[in-house]
Amino acid sequence: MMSQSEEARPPMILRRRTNNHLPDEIVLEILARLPVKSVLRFRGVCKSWCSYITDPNFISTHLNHNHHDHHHDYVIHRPKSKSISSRSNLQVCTLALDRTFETISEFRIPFTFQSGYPRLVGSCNGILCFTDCVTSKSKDVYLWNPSIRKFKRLPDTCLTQLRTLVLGFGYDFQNNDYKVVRISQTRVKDVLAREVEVYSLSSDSWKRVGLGISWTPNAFSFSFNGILAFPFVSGHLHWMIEVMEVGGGQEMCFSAMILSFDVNSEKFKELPLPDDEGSFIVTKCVTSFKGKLALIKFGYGVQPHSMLCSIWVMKDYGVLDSWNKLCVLPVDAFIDFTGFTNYGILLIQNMPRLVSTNCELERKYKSVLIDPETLHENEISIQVNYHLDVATYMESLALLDGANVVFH
Amino acid sequence: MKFCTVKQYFDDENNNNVTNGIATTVIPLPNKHLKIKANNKEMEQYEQELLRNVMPQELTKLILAANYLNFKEALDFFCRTVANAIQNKSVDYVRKFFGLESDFEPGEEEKLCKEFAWSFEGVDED
Repeated sequence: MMSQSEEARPPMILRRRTNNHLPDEIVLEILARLPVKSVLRFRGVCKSWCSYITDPNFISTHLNHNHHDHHHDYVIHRPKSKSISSRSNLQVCTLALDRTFETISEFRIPFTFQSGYPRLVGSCNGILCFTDCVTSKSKDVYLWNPSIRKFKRLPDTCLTQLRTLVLGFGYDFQNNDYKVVRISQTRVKDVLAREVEVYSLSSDSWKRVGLGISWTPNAFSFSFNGILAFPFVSGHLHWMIEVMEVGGGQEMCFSAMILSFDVNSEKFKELPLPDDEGSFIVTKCVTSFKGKLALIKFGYGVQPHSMLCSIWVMKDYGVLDSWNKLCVLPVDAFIDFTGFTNYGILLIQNMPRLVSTNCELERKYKSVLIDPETLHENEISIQVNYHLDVATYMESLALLDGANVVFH
Repeated sequence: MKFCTVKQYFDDENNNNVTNGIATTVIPLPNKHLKIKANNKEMEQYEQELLRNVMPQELTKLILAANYLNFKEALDFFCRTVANAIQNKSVDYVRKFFGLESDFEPGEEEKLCKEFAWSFEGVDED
């Protein structure tokens, strides 16, 4: 029962079990709606708040609140190749708004690689996964959450011989765990051996898993995915592969396929591609578009010198018949395709054109966002003259509860 | 079902003193929500108006009421409002607001502050 005098006094001291003391679950509801910076600061309020905040369940609740608030849809972009001016730009990630690429802030990558060319493996729930460039011998893999300024170097491989072929980074939502998959390929004499290991953040260790697919190692090879990171969609990681099989008449048959990895069950599967339609396909890349698995095919159309880009989307995950062609875009011969963002906008970067202004020739770079569903084109303000890693991004507290995490 | 709970809430003598708050603030919410559900901007203005008439400390009472009534939209709204009100405030302010005291060992709190020193930048003056 509240007395008159207690009613008048402002809340200055700890009161237990009074009508105005908020229960824990409500405090958590409030904390879950705060931006990352505030949550981190409020760890200092008291011991119980500190332990609520570092609890993995709270971290995922907080993420869900952030995720549904569409004011916080971002992309992170980073140059992949040297610009003319300085090499140090490769260490800078820019945080920008998803729809307009308007810059919000910049983060400097807090770790370095031997080659000086960091490579983005994937982006998941606010964690970025980086490794060294394809040609490097370095096997270092890092997980980094720029919004809490914490990163972690993954422990060394558990495989006896490691020669990285492909990597993938995804989130196991059933176990609230982050995983990195590494497929290694070594050749001993004529024999190709492929081994797979999976890293789990919650156990902070790698473990060997079986590839478990029907073809012999020599029968398939991983395709280069253009400049795109391998997509994480519907709880699966995906890579493009080419399968070579000997046909009935001893001829070699080539077919392309998507290799998928279920991050929860840690099992591999094959996903078929839609029909080639006979057009001459130069290259195919697998990516994600508005949360669905997508395929981009570049090829030549009927008319000479005309390159076409067709975009397909798998409407129902895993269902072959659900491959749906969204559009076919005519692309200039010199187009540079960069990537997709969460709102399904394709970023195409044109190669520099010579533009005459005031009787002087200038190189002008144009970057546009194209919506493959509406074909609406938007020129964006960022002027870039190098390839970009583009990844969807959101602020989160992920990695706060991780082992051996370093703050910078 | 909501009406029964409301009546029960008012009948419960412990809650007599928060009746005013409920009557003027919580009860009209569902209708308001329905009317302007589609219009986010109007909802924001309504929220701003509400904030002006309600002291931050009063919000805790409203939250408890909404929780008791199992009124999810109001609870979400009030929690968001409190979050917005405290997000740029200092640790001290937040302690006072929730009626909490620091129970850290000496040195523990400093260690926490150092770990995320940058999160203390740009905080409102108390």
